[in-house]
Amino acid sequence: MRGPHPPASPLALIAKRDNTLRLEALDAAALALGLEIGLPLAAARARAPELTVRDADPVADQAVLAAIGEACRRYTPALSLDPPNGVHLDLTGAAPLFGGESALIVDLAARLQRQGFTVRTGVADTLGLAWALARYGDPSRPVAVEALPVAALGLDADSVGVLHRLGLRRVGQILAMPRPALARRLGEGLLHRLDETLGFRGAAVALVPEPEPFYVQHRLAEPIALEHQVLRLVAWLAEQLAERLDRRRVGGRTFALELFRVDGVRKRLLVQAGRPLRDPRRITALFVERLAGLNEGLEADFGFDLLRLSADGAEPLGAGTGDLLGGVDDGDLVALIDRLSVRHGPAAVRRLAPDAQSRIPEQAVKSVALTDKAADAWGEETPAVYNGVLLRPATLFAPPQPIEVIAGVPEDPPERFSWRRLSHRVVRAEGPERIAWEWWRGKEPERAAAEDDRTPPAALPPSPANDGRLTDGLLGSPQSAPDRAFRDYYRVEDDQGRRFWVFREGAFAPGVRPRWFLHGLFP
Amino acid sequence: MVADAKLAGLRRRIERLEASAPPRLGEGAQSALRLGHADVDQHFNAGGLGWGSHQLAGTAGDALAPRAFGLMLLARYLAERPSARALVVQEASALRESGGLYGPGLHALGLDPGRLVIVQTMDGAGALRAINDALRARTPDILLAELGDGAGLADLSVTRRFNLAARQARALVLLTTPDLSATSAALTRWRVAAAPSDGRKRRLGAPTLMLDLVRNRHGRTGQWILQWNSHDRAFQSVPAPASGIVLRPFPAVAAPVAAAAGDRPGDARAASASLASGPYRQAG
Repeated sequence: MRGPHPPASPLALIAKRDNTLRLEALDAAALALGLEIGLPLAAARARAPELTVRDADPVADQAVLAAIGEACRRYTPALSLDPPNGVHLDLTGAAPLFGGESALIVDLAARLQRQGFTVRTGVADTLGLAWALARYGDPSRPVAVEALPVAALGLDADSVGVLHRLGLRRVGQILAMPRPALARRLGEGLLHRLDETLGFRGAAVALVPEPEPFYVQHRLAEPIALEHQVLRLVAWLAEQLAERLDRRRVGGRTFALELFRVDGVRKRLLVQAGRPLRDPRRITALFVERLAGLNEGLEADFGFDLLRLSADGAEPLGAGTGDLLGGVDDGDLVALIDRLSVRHGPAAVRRLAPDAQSRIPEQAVKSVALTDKAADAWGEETPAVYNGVLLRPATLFAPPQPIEVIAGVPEDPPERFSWRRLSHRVVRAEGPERIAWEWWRGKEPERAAAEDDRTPPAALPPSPANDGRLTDGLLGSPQSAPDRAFRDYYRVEDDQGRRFWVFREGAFAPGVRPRWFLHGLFP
Repeated sequence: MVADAKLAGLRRRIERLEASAPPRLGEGAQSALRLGHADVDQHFNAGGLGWGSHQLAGTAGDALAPRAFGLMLLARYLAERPSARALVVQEASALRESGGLYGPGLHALGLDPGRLVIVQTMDGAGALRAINDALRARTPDILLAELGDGAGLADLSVTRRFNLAARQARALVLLTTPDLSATSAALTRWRVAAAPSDGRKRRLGAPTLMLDLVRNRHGRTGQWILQWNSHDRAFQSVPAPASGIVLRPFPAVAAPVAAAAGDRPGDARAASASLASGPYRQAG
């Protein structure tokens, strides 16, 4: 656990174990206060009221550990991870490249400490010994194996407890005992571990393989600057990349084209595919769209002399067809959708899926990605029709548009309303249909939207915000009384035959001017 | 896996071939989509809309009607072909004018919203380009483009190109525009407007449109007022209202009436109309 700026108060990470929140990790300040790992949170707070707690995030920890491991790859390719907080390096043959073992270790520790990590290292002939030395050794002086505590053998807590009860506290004491006696009392596992540590038996290590980058590049003798030249080279590179992907039987989800200019400037273009892709023609087609969509063009200046095409997010090619992605199974259509997404932006291409859990109009439907299976669930929904009359409009405005209304009180439908400076005389009306804020869902949407600092893309209404739902802040403003947290919807038709979905916000209250809105249009 | 995708593509093509109507009157032409109303279909030589581009234009103050007509045609087309999908391309100004497509409303209309692929573009040029891409890719078979400010870009050459490509790809291209101002080579040009519905008393009825077929390259022109039946996904004639029925707005309420909901019989209102008047109107 670390942070570039340690908090002022003691910090602990908590996680739920045995149905209680317990401390998982502590910083130095918390340790100094006498807190221990495994202490229930309530007790910890009693001892140290100023304790700051955060949730433990083992997934993030694992990711950080993997990143540290990759950073250590500069020293040796043979590395393995020892979660939750260990990295093993096989330094055979690597030490001379860095000026000797000690120099290597000092360099490694210095790099990690600069990042804010506390590092303990151990170097030995066997992995087990190195592990023991790192955790239980003393960095200031060499220590003999015999002097290490038995816990340094990497046994589980139960075995260590058994050893302690037998009076065996140092590895040396174990070594002095006859092997058959040990095997009888403690089992073969302990002996295996002992042998591994001392080097009498080889230990199996799971090496972390280096992630293979899929990329191809080509350096040009004469720089190129024209779009068609770039695309021709991209097509050629795509074929080579496809071969690489083919060998591993994977496809890429994201492709990056890096163009290096003669003067050193590097331009990077990304395209994404809905499904793992390997076909060089389709990869090229996506880049055709990408280049066509560039506002300022390639900006080649004097030209590019190095092009590199790489694939990210490699996935097995079969994944994503058939059941997994269910939604769109026509290969040609998927290709078209990929191109349209690259051209107009991924948010511009979508499908509609029902959200049966909410009656609130804006939330009864959500925009989903093209490959989402949920979009096919409309068959289970009941169409909002009664005797041939539509109950829901075909289009919706987000947000609803304010209108001026003349209506009888308290619950009459509008007689006349004006929208966009046009006045409409209502000749048919049905309603009210009351749709209330679903109090059981928690915060009202406006409050929730205000706390969310992501702003919806302003370009095209209705724009998705908050994972694709059409949100609206008007259903119950934060200052509203509970009797404002509903809408009375009316379906009205004017004398020209145009049909509208309008609502009044809240109940009629004498002296208060109610607000009316137009939410949608009926065919 | 990959075979499934190819299988789906083949299935789609076979469906398209099967769904075409047999040649009528020795013409040899096949229609892509019949409107399902005998009178309207007879105005077409092929018995329905042909493969190519068709323009659906609105009138001032009623931008939704051509979109509604387009959605109804989509509903009919998709109902005939169970595994087909439709591409709907919307220009940003058309979205601002009429709002975004609302799933439950489309579902109520008889159109399966899950079978639509919706693309929103910044301008008309982008929308037309998307249609072009889809035609070149020969999928999906039915394309609806909603143009707003960019409607002028769908001119003679563009629509002629769409006609050729759509005929080759056996696709139907529907273009909705705010009005009929731009010249266009579309096979048919319609003016679409909303029409009063025929509900009982003061209730709303089924969706009703006034369709004015202004140009029909392979047939005759005509004018109809048609009602949409969302259950059967078909157009029906509207019984003409007898002259003399005047649709009146709601009568002014003489006094605040408790909970006078719009779908209560109007008699109760008349009974209470004699109460003393006073400030009773609320402007909202």
